[in-house]
Amino acid sequence: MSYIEIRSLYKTYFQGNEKIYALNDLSLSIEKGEFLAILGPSGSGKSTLLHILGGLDSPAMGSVLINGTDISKYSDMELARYRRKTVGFVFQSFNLLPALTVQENIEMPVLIDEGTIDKEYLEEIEKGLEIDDLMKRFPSQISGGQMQRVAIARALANKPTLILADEPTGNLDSEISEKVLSLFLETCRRYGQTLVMITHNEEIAAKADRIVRIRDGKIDCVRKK
Amino acid sequence: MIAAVVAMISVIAAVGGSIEESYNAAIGNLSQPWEYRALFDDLKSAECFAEVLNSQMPETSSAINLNAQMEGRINGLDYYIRIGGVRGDLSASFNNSLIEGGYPEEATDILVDNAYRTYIDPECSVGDGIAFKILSPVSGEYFDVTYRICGFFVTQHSDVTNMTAYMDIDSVLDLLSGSQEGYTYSVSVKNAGDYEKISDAMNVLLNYFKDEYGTEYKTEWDERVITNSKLLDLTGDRKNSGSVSLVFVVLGIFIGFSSLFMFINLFQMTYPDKVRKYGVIRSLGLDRKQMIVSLLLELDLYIVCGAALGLAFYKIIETIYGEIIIKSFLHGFDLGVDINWHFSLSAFGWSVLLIILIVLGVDAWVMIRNMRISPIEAMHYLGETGRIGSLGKMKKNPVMAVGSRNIRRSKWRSVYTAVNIFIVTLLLCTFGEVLGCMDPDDNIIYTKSNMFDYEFFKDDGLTYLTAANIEYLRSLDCITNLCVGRTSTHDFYPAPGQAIAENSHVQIRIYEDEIFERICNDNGWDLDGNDMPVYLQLLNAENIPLSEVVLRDGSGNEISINGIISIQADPFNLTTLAGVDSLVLVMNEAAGKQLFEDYDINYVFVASDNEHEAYDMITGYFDSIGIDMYYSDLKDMTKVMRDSLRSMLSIGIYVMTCLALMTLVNIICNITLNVRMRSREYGIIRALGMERKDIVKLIVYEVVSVSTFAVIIAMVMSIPVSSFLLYDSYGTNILKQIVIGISCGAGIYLAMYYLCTLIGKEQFSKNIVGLTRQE
Repeated sequence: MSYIEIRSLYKTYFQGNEKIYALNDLSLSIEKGEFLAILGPSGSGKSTLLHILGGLDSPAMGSVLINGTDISKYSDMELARYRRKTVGFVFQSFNLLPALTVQENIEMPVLIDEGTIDKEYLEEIEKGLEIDDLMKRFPSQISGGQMQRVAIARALANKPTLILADEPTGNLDSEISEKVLSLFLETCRRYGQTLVMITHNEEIAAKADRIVRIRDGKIDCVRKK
Repeated sequence: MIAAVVAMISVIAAVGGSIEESYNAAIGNLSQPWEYRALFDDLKSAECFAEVLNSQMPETSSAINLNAQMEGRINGLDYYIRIGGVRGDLSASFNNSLIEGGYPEEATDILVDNAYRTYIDPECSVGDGIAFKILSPVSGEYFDVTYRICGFFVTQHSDVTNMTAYMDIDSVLDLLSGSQEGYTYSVSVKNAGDYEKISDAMNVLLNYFKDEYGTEYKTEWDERVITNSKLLDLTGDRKNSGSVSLVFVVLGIFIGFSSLFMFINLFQMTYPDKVRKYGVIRSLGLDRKQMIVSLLLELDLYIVCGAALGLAFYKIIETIYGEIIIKSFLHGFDLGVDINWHFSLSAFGWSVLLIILIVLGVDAWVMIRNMRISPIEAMHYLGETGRIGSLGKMKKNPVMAVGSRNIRRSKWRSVYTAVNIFIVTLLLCTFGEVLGCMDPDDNIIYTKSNMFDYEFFKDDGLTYLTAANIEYLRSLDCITNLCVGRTSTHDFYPAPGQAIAENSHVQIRIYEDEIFERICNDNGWDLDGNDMPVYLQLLNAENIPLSEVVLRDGSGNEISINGIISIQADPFNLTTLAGVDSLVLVMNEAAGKQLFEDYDINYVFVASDNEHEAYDMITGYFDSIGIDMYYSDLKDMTKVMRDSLRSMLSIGIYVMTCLALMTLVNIICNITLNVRMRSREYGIIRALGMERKDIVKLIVYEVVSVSTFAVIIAMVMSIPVSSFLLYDSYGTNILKQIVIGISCGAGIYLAMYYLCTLIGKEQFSKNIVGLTRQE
């Protein structure tokens, strides 16, 4: 069995009286340690899929098995634990906590999990993302690109087994994008992490083990490297 | 939310203003009894004016009153009778009504207040004689006179200690040695009808009088219109007697401040949003003029919606509670007049105007901020920023780390919230303590000594009560307590050099040991080793040097006063023949026996569980031993106090309920606004894996840590504030105040905790993705 098994996933919402399918009978398997790139036009259901995978949202129908356990049946408590221990999420809009410094933002997942901060590991990530000199600043005092890198560092801080990234390089220039991607791939390789990344960048997608294109909530095509 | 706050403030103002408006409307209500009074400095002017009045307006009734009064005293009683002069229809003035007999015609005719009849002789009637001692204004000494009762009248303000009687003006002037100087004469007119019309007519008459008689007779005059004297007296009393009006003034100030802080807090929260919003619109080309128009339009929308909501709430309150407010609040003081509910448009309008000014101020702030920074800066404006220091050990705890950072980041918002919670807590605790200490059955300071249901006075011509008589009365089952005493004008004399007026009399209060000990304990006096514990009641003690001999009894024995004590609930206050308040000496039975060997007693206050049985038994006993004691039901002050307290309590409970609701609304608003402002952050930390219990902890931590200090300070401060409000009229009970204060504070604290828990759970039930995308 694959690390992630998505079976007949539906997600619907209403626009007035009209029922809209964000995900429409979507099934997909992802292997452990795999780098999966998801491509698709806006509104195709990419982010919805990522949110459901990350335990942030629940499907209308279908199941999501992580290591053989269906997270769609998890209670609130189990979902919180799943997000805390298993998932590292990079949001498209960064979602940094404005009251905390960059360093506190990065360390927050470890604190919530009541874990021990691996300082060496975090320093390595911070250097790799070139944010090591921003640690004492607040999110309002750094640029959009820097915020994106802080969000990435936060997602990696807890050494999660599954990294879900919603356009993590969308706000970065090509040079930094390259570095970020290398860092992702390096940590994934080192810790056996699975990376599911939404991107519009074909060059980045080309580096993935597999590319899944989604359209109208369905898988349009799957291309292996 | 802003509209809701506007509504709340306008409703409070409208209800408060309407109460005032209702009073004012009642005072000016044409259907209420009215009277008109013109005052003159000389009798001739008054007579001329009355003549004009009677010829021009025969349908009215009028009276000339001589406003100088003779002081007299009915033989055998210690109370005053004041004799005034009247000519014409007495019913035209001072809410008097003739109920029996006629007006004084002969020089020795006297018209007596019917309430005084009991003291003269319950069986007395028109034509009977009445003996007085009258104080001569010439010699300054009392002389004996006997008059004929020509009639009885009733008045709204009977006071047996200062009873009023009327004689013919000429008779009084004779008694005043013919002098017409130094007194005023009033011509009163009263009739049913259109007051405005009468008022106009009176002005015509006044002018006619001026033309007819010139100004030589009119030394000075004053005219007054009294359309509801009882109501006027009440409103006057409310202004003068501190505690009641003070409670409501303090209440109003607190509610006003609380609403103001809530409003400022609300705008403080929305202010960065507004700056950002206008930053975006400015980037699209909005100029300054358009921004001002836009802000004003937005303002109009808030105010119109809020005011409409306020009016709707007001209408609901008026429909449901209007009658209750009138009955308990306006009629609670037994006005005996008709009062209808009147909406105060001005109070409502002023409150809305005040809100408009505040909102304009806040919007001006938004505009100034926007003018000073570029559109792009405005778009990214986050409100309060700056150094917020290290987290220290809190860094290790995610709940405390996020919570304390947020409190520090929004320090002004935290301060406003704390101030708001402080105000509502102080308000609730203080009011709770005041109400708690106004228990009419339990807490008029000395319960037993205030349970007096009857007061018996002996006639001077009869035998004193003896110690044996008192012992017998105390042995009666129906009597729970007795306080005995004596009032004498002759037994005591001032010590040399003491500034006590001639003819002073001294009241002696001899309390049972149990009560006396409680009084002394409450005043901090130690009775141990004190052979002659004689204290001076605080009431009239200003000019008495302590620890010196101030009085001698009839045998020449010196009486030292150990100190001053306060018996706040003691309702009895006599004045001396010289017109000053009596000294009241308070002592126990041992001291009483030592000072007065034969233990002569000329008054008895009785406390009883069964007033009818007690009355029958006591009067039966007095009859059996041949002592004629006068029973005074008019002096049943305890009942008056209890009724007054009960009336105030019914209002207080209503106000307290409103306050509790207001406090709840305040807390809900504060917590809800705080959480709503931060829902995105809660979404993010939930996305990072924070569990529900930690989210709840975070909300509780943020609200409670901001409010804890405010609640504690408010609880502590409520004790002196409520003591200040209670002290004068009801006395304090610190233990009770502390218990009530802590209970109210704990209630608020628990309410906050419970609300935080509820809101925290509700936050956790929201979709994380939706929250993280929230602006």
